[in-house]
Amino acid sequence: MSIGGLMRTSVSGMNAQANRLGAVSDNIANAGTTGYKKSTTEFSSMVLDSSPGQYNSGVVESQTRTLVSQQGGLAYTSNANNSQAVDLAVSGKGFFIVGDGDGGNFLTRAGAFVKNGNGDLVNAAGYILQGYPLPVDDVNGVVNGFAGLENVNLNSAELRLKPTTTGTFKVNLSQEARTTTTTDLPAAADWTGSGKPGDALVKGVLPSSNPENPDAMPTFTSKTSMVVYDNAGKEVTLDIYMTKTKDGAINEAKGAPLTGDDIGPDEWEVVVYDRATASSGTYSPFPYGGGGEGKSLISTGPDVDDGVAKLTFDQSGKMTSTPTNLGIKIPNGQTMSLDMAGSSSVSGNYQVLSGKVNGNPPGNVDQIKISEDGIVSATFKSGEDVPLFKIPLAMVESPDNLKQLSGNVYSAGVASGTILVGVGGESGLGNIVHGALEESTVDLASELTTMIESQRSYTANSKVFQTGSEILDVLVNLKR
Amino acid sequence: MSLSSALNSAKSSLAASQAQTALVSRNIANVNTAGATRKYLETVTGADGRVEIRNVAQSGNSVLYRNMLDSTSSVQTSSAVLEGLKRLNEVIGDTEASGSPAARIGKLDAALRSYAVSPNNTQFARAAVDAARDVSDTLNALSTTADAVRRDADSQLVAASDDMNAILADISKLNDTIVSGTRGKVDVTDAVDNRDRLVARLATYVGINAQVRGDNDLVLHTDSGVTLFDKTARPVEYTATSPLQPGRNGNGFRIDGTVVTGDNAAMPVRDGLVAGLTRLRDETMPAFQSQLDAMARTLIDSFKEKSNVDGSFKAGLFTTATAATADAVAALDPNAATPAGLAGQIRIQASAAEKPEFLRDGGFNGADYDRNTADAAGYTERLDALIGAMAQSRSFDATGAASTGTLAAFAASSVSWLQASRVEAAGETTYRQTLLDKTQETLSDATGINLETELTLLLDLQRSFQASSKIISTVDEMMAALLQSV
Repeated sequence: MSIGGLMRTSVSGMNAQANRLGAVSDNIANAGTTGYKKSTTEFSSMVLDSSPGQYNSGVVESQTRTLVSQQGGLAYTSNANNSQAVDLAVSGKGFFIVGDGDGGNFLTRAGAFVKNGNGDLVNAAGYILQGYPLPVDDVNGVVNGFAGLENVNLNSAELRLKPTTTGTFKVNLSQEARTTTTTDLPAAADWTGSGKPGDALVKGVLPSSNPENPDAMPTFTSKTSMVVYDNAGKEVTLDIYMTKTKDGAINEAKGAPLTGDDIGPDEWEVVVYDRATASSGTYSPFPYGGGGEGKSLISTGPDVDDGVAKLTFDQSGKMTSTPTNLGIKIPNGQTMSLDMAGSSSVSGNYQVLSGKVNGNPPGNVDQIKISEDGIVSATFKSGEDVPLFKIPLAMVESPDNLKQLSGNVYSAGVASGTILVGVGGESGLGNIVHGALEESTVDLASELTTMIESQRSYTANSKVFQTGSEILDVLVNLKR
Repeated sequence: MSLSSALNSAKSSLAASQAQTALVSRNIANVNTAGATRKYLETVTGADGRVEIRNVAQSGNSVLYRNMLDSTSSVQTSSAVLEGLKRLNEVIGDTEASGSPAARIGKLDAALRSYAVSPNNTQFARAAVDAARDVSDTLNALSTTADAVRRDADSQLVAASDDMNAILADISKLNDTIVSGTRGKVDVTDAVDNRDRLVARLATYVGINAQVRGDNDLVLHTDSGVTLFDKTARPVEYTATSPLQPGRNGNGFRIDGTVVTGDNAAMPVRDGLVAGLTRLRDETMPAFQSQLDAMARTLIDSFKEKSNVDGSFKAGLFTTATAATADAVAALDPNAATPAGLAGQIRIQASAAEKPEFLRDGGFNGADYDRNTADAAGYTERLDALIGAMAQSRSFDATGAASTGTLAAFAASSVSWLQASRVEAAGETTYRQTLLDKTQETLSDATGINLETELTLLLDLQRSFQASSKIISTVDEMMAALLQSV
């Protein structure tokens, strides 16, 4: 009995070592597979009943586990903004959710995605990355399932645009600028201030009057233009005229400086016209809109009257008019809120201190950016980001007990616990790293040492078997 | 785990060293390229202690760059004026030179005096007529040159607007690349260098105020605040002035729909070739032209003939291509304005070559104007009157030169005004050029490529590369040792 048992035990030992070598060979073969988690083999003994004087050797049972929860090293790649090849890695416990195209969803850490013919992102094993479309379906996801997920599609044939809605415009309007008045200038004889009437006051037509048949070029102090985008993403150039209409520090009838309480604020009128309606006559670009149709586009702002806003500045150059926002109705577009806060009227030249508007013209998805919380945004040449998708991360209670399937994907089961879906940065899911791949967790040196160990162990088991066999041989040869 | 991660770290170090070496080689290749800035790699320590390449950065100094743009523009302002004045100077020479109007007028005076001494000598008469012809030829030549300088300035303005539009279109393309590249963390440093070079070229035309906002987005305004570039290039418009008449200003230069040159400019540019050429065309040359016109008018006025019949005046020896014009000038009130461009039209009477004695007697306009009806050979009354008229102190309707004095004094003051303007423009140009050279040198010192730095860096990189390679070969040996024991 005992010799036979010995041989059976050694065979189980050899089997166990063969299993372990199998896991080692898997590991070595996948030493370079993105998102691969190494397998280890654990042994447990099985003991048979023994009686005194009679020992029955047991057997060894092997169990191969995959260490899914182990974090692999991140290798940075050059695909950090390309929309054709997207490399993603998770730094933490979460998994990407991928689909097989037939409705099945799986978890994976293999994030080397490339765009297929439909514009979907497909990894090396052929699974399609899943995400929530933005911005409309932001709230459709559920925490414990795959509902609301769609293929992340970066189809470049689709044009995306964004009309202009806000902007900032900060200027310094020269305090020394001449004041434009619509009334006759005082006679030089009545002028008691320094210089001549024409030095400080000039008679002219204001740009706000936009005369239908101008007989002179309207007199403005400063002008700038801004490019904004309408609802169709078309460029609209706005001409902004700023004209000083009142100097609060001089008496306009006499030119003498005012003193004390007589000093009031300086007043400037602001009008905005659509460049597309400019005329090409002698006094081009006036009149705007021809036939008296041209109206300033300002709808809200300080003291707005028929499209004309009035800015006031105190004598230290600080803007005193409120609100500081101009609402400008862009033709075929949104009403842009143009913030003029911080504008001043101090001594010195007219200068645009900052001017910026949002919005972008229709453009193809060329470059993309993926943030740590998984928001995929397309970057357009106008410098605007448009969010397209949100990539969720999933996790389970026991990642090491996930069911392993071909293609480095896992599916949740009873042993692993149900999935929990969230976004990067949330509750221990970890962050998404764009432009990096998670390397295989296999370490060749330790695999090699395991191999040596297994080999020795296997040899020892076979020696046991051989010994048993030889003993049986001796036994058999007792009978001649 | 540790041997693999050692390999990986060494690998990342090799990648970083290679990228840096490539940059060093790019820097060294561009060491003599004007406007090239030094590029360097921004690296950070990534996960597991590896080297991670973040970005290619470049050196820059916005203050020096702005100074450079300002100097570039102001050099062009004065040099445009200087070039025009130089061309006039080549025709005239200095006050003493025989070609100057002052010298010619002096000779005419001398010839008249000689003729007055021997009024019966036809040779002297001819000499006086020849001297008069020299005066009118000189005035014609100078007027033609002044006109040509204006015309050239006008066509240069046309070329300037074309070139500015082309430059702005290029800037627009580069700016798109730079903005999207900066957002996408792509290496755009060479595009930035190119954009800066284009902006510097644009600064030769107009004074520029350049601002860079987020994502390396460029905004350009002229020194007067007119938008040149903001997301898109603004149009620069100029149509050639045709015809460009004496005494009339040329067309205005438009940027973004706003007139930026001339008297009715809402936001006039201060510096750059466009401002310089406009000043040359509408101020300097018209001033000189007005001086020439004043001389021509004085000559016609001094030599005018009075009718014996009704006392009316007609042009004498000095007339114009169309006699009626000269007659009108002769009859002008002394306070009335001089017709612009008169110097270009002034001529000698065609009959003067055949009948030089008309100079002595009068009568270019017929017998009614003959003062010496008795045909006395010794008649000098009219010649004395002519000499007197030329030597008479009068006031001149001209810009720049002395406003009162004799014709000779005025001609001399005109030439010295021209020389003074030229010397001033030359001085200004030299000063601005020196300033520009210095600024460019400082900018290049601050942002340019230094060969010593690059070569030292290269040595460091080589050592780092060797050390990383050594780590790889050592790990390889360790693996080999392990494999041997299997």
